[in-house]
Amino acid sequence: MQVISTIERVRLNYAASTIGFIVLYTFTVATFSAEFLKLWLHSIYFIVAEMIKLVIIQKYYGLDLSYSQEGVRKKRSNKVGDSIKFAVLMIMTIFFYAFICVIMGAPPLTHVEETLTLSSLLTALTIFPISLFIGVSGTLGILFTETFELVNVTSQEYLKLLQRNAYLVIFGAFIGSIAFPLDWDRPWQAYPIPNITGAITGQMLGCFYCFFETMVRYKLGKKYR
Amino acid sequence: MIIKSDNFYLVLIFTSVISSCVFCIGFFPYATFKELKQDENKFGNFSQINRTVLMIIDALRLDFMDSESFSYVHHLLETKEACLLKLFVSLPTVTKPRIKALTSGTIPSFLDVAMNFGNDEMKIDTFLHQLHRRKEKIVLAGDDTWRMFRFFDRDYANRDSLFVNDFYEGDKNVTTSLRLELKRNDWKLLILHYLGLDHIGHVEGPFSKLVPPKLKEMNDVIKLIHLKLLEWNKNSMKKSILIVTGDHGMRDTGGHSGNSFPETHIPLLMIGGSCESNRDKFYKQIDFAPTFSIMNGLPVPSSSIGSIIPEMLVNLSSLQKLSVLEAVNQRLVEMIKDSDEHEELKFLFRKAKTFHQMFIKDFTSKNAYERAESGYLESSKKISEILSQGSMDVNLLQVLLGLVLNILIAITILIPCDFATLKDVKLSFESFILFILCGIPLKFLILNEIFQEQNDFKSFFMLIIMSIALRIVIGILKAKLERFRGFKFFDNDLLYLLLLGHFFFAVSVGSSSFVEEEHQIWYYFCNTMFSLFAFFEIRGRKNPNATVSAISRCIPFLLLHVVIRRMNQTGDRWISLPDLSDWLHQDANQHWLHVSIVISLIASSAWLLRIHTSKHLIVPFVIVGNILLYFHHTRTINNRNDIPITTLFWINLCIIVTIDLVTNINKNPTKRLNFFVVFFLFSLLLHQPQNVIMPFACSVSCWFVNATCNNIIKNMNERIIAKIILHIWIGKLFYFYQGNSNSLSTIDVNAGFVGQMHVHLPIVFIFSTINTFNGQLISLFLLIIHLIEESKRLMNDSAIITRLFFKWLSILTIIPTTVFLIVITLLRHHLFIWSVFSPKLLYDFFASALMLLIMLIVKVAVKF
Repeated sequence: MQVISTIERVRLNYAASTIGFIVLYTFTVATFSAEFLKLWLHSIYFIVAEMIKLVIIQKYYGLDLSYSQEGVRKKRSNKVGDSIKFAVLMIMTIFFYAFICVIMGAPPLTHVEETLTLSSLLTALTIFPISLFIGVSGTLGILFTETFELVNVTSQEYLKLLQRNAYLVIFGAFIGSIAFPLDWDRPWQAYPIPNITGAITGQMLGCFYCFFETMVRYKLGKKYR
Repeated sequence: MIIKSDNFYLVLIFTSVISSCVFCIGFFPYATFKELKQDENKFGNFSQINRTVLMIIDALRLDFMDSESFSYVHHLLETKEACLLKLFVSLPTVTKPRIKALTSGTIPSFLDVAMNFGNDEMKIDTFLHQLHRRKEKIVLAGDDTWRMFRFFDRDYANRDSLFVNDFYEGDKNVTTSLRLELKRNDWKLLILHYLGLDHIGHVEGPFSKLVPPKLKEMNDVIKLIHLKLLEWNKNSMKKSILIVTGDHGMRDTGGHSGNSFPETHIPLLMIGGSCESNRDKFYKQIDFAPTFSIMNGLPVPSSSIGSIIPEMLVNLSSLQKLSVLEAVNQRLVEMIKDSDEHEELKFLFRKAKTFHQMFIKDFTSKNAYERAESGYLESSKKISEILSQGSMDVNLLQVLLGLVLNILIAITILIPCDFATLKDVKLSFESFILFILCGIPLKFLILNEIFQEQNDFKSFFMLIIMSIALRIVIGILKAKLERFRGFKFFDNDLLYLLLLGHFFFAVSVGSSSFVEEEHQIWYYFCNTMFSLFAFFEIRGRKNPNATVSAISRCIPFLLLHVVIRRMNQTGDRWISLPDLSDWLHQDANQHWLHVSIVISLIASSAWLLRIHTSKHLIVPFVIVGNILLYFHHTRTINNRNDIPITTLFWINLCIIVTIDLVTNINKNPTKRLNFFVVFFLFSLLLHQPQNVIMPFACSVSCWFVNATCNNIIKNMNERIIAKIILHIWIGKLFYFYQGNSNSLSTIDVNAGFVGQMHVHLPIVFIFSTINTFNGQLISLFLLIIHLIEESKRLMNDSAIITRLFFKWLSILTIIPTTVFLIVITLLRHHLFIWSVFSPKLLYDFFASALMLLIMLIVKVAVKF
């Protein structure tokens, strides 16, 4: 019997739990009304979901988080300072996304709540899991240097996974706008809904892709071993 | 004939324009009118009309009738001396085709919108022709579009009636002529065409404060005529009537020619005769001509496909009315083809006829009369509907020929080949003859059978043209296939993103919503690209200072786009939303408009002086030019026609050109920059006041894209391709930013009349084109400048740059056009074909022709 490697287990675990959370989310939205989407609740939902995922993965696999560049990561001496930095990064990201939304055509004076909803959701799905995983300085490293790597292979794999999902989320939100010009006059064509749907679909597709990729790799690995 | 391999793309785009032209001619056929021989007695002579004043108020919207200014009309309506009916007009809502429809009762070709200014003779039979045949006198005053009828006895048409800045003079002339004619008694029909309202609409929009006084003026004219009518009708059996109607409506933003409700629904007012108001039902504009003919005891115009407006015929006796209805119905039934689907209508007609017979036998049977009348009306309405759709059938043979050739060109252009070893194409005269000789039997024996085409001179001419074009395209295709090489893949992902975006645009035309809202595509894609580029710019900096300076450049640039995309709402669904230009044009915010003009002009002159190489001499003239522009745009916010200032401005431009020619006579040609300065200043002159920022913003965007491309794309070929695509995108972006759309009503006709005393149609045409396609022209200008810089930097790659320029411009023009032609051929029975797709086809065709022209100029004048 072939043993699944840690990397593969992490990937499967991640994919399965993300899809689970998205399915749960879909059911919740379907049960409550569309009004649910307008609230901040769903960002909080995804924040909690990401936290739970990370806790599970860290607990089972205890991923190592050393950078390749700056040697061993500093010990967490200042928890308060770190959390403040973290909060500032998150708020900055939210405003950055909101700014991008405005540039892409969101009305800057009206629809502020919708824009912030969308940008906070994008933050919760992209930057938040990454900085939760590798900390604020690591996130900045990813954003502004081109060669950022973790020492541990499994951790690096997991980080790659998060990064790719972040790209897909942003791409999904981008593509979502295709619904706006259509003259179908459906209620779900209102401003942030197609983008939110697109973002979540993007993450979902990322997870499916990860799932199948892992399966294929596992099969191939068995053959070559 | 030898086609050099350098000229392949030029030749291909030329043939593409030709085949699109064939496509368009086939798609908008000059309807082959089925003329029926008229039996005059059939309609009986029920004329109870002495003389008629037909008063056309251009762009009279339906809701203008409710305006308080029409107080006299309201009074007449209350006392039942007048009656109000509502008409629905078909597309395009432009004066000439609408006049044709109003007078002939048929729907003229859509292409008339392009010939709106032309003056060719009206050949279709109308009630004017009928009157003329009876030697009745017809008098015209007003719009000279009516001169397409050549038999006015007295013609007071205004010389420059299309001059949009004239709100009052033309109308005053019409009223003067009217007073003169009211004293004479010899005419049968007096046509008055007032254009002032339309001009106010074009310049200021329907909610301008100039509109109510204008309506008041019209009200007074109606009063004047009505008083005279009362005088005439007092001692006369036959009545004289006044008919007031619009030719088309006006959309909420002021223009017309589209299909919004206020453009296509107009009032019809009849004063003096006996009639009934009907405020619920919409008749068609083509119903007017047959009804009017019958009122005057004339035969119905021979190609009319209209039904009847019974409210205008109430003074006929029941029997007369039924016989008229029968006659009209009879000729409509004769016009439709025999087929099963029309059998139901004929049955309806026959049923009505039976009741008609019953009524003739028994005059007291009110039931029979009512059923006969409603039966006739219903069947004539339905048949008229079918006929008006039928008159718009496309000429499938020409459409398919144009389409197939275009697809072939698209394939040819996409075949990757090794350009360096490409051979020239030699085409012998014999091969052309062979193609034509092969074409003749194919066309005249086979295709004409299939498509039921007529053999006439036009189709023979078309055959020769198409054979030659086909021969050329096949020659090039063969040459390219000989040097075929596999597809090369790009290294840069960005380029795939760009191509994907352009591909999405090409495919999006399949959906009518995306055609209407095309601007959203460009807004979205371009701003995505700008954000990405800004991100790369900021990220690519090594030290913090450079990062800060990059941020301080990128953020204002992006914010500029956030602001100017809200300058002019365009498209269809959200066009009515208030935008910045509405806000700036409110009286309370005039000072902000001034501020925006000043800022735009300062930015523009700073920009011009920055890019210009030989500064010292031109500086004062550029500044003077901008000061003149300030006066031009602020003093004439309401009426953009300030002759002295524009004259000074022309002189100023001439001086710049002269300086340029003198100083650069022996030097290395940096002339293009100076031409660019002149062109830039000229386009500032043509723009609407709120759009003065656009040329500056467009240049800055092009410059930003160019600089970033230089930084982030290392491979030269890919960099040039990316630059070409992005410049095209920016051109499209600014085309929509300035308020254009795929609907014909958003063309700013005012621009054509800037600085002119009289209408010179070629100049109006050139000015409007430069103004409408300003974004594209400026971005292409800058693209050429940027590519020249590129070739200077890399020294010896001029040939490659030239080839890439022609190749990618043709690809980016021809591929979307071809896809659109395929789509429109498939969707030719779509509900929106006339309102959405046809205008887009005209725009597309015009844009390709313009691109061809630009490429020819580049070929001749520019060396990279």
